[in-house]
Amino acid sequence: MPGSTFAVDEPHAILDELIQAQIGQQLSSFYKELVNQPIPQNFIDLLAKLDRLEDGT
Amino acid sequence: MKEPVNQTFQTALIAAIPNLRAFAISLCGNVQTANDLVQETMLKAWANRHRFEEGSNFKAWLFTILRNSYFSDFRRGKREVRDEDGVAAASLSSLPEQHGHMDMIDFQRALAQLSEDQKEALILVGAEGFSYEETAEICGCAVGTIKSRVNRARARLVELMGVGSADDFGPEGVSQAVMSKAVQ
Repeated sequence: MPGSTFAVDEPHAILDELIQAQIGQQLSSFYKELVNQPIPQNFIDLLAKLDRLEDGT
Repeated sequence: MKEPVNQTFQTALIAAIPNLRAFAISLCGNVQTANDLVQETMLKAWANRHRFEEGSNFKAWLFTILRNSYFSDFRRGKREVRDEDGVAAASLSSLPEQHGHMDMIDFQRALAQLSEDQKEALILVGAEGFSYEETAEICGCAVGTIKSRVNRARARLVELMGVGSADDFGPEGVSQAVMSKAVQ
């Protein structure tokens, strides 16, 4: 490639590092997206029911 | 005097739900199955709440219940729903159409191609932020096993997504990155 005048030791390793960092970032934004979804109401209802069940016994 | 204990337990359980759901969705790739899995986890946690050791890691305890339920009943059981193509659309449907949306779907597709073991280890360590030791305890295996699963998961993701990512950087991006590295 013209213009690559500077010395490069391991371009592949560096590229791998970049991709690795990008994947790490995608993993955390993917996961954050899921964590930020609202809790389904039936989960809250379920806990309330469990609690009441406990009170009854 | 049981009520305050229950109240605390309940509050802690509610607080953990978003993470349990995120883990479940990542694991089984299907929102409906994931919700069932979280619900079962909540029921089991509630039924076994007396067994939780005060002072130990509550979140890790819940995650252990969830992954054990998944691997014993959900994975090969009747409730399994194989839906690899519908995966992304279903769980990310709430995302607004935006620049990163397609990347995210690509990412989820790649994630779905990892083995269960690798996916689990990668999510717990890389996304949920558990230590290798905590993850080993959750999964019931050796720390070294978790480390190698995480490494293999990362390498596989690079394989699956590497080409597109390299293109994304473009020739200039790569040169720049190489240069900034060379300067260090």
